[in-house]
Amino acid sequence: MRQFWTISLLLVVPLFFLWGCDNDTSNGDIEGEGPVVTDLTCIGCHSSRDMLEDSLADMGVVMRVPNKDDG
Amino acid sequence: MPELEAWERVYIANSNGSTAAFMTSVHGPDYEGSAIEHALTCQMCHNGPADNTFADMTEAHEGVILDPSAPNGGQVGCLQCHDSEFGETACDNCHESIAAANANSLHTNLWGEKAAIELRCECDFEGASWSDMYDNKCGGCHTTCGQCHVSRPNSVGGGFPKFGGIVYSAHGFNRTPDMTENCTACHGSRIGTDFNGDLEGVSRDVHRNNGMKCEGCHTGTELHGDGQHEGDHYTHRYQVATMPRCETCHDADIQVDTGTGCTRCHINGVGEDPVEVPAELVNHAHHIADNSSCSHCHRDGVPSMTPANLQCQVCHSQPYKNCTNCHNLVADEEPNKYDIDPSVVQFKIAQNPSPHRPEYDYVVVRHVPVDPGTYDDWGLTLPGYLDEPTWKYTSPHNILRITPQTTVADGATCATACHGTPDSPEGWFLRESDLYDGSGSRLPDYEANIGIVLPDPDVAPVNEN
Repeated sequence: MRQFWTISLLLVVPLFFLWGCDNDTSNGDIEGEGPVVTDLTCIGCHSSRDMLEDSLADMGVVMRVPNKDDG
Repeated sequence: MPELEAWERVYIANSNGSTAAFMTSVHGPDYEGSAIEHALTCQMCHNGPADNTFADMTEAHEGVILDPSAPNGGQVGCLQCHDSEFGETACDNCHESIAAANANSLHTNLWGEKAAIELRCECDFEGASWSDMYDNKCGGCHTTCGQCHVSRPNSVGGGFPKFGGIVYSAHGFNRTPDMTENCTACHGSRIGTDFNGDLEGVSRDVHRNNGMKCEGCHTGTELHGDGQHEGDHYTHRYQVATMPRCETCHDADIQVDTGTGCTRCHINGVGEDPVEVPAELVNHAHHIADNSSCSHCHRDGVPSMTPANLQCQVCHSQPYKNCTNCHNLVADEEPNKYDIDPSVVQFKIAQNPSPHRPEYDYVVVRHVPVDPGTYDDWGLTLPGYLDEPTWKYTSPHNILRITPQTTVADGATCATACHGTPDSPEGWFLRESDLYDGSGSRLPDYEANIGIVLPDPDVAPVNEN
């Protein structure tokens, strides 16, 4: 019986360490260090040709433009 | 139109990399004027996470609204702070009257096309099982505030305009949409082609040659809807009362005659001994209302004087594209994809089929691409297909003062050009022969159009007197 409780305790302890660890990148506190801050802004990316080209390199043409020669 | 690269579509700086013009504008986050209560951040219109809280493109675009001007959902960014009574789009709160009119416009709702389908299917569009398929295949051609005033229309892939293929609009808000980037992006295959003289053998529109663009004739009031059908809605663009009319500008030249003006036909006089008509009457003589100079001599009148009223384009437009046999609107394939026969460039005059322009007897008509099986892929049949002409009243945007119709031998009237036109596909009159295919079989829409063709030339002699 004692062995059962010991094994159970060893299995549960790691779960306490993982509690709340869901890869949170929201604007909340982490260990008292204030909000998660990146250097990325909407304007910053959308006004940088290099950043846009890097991000959209694989997308090519976003949407097929129909051939409107007829119709 | 030339496609934009993916990065160009969402690039908000100008060609020098500067965002200042947009940032300090009334729609920009650095605006310091008093025209609005507060400056607008990106998120206030587009929703999405706050700056500096995202680490990559995917995170940055969670919950983002691509087109905040789209009804029913475009106001989400605003609702973060405003109450639920905020309008349907991000534009509504500041542009209330325009947005309200536009909500009822054909540009927004495509009611004209829907009405045409309803006429032929003899059914109601609303709630129909195929309405979703319509939205996926045809509905992509509607537009929003933003697709005219901020970006290119979605129907051509969206993205911010690139004026002249060089200058980026940099997320600018343009009070007047750009003719190439916005208007003819959608209205390109016919209107744009005509206006720019892109068809072989067809000249540019005289208004275009004189530097005019779409807004020279089409006002915002017209394009947004003029409120005449508030509570109901338009079913055809010719119902919009503020639609441009030639005589708005050319009234002094035309002096439209709805009576029996002699000089309508007899520009240079009558008979073997022509009477010289004063020069001031020659210009648009066939429309001159004051025929007193004729009745001065012809006191007893002239027999068979029952002149017809012609739409201006009958004399002053050129050949244009006509479309046939639109089909393969397979609902689950990519939007905007369809098959259609190659267009045919023709110029055809017919009896006026339009209930919206009853003042004309004879008008220019264009063939529309609907076919009895156009909507087969939706399970939609058209029992009323033959009840509605498929040659429709049209307004080609390739106007010229002097055209082949107005070019005649010395001493002859304009009528000699038209009435001498051959009975063939190249002829200017829509004849019964145009309703047969090359093998001599009646076309599927024969019965729909036989009522508007011009009579056989052998049984309708030209009155040259």
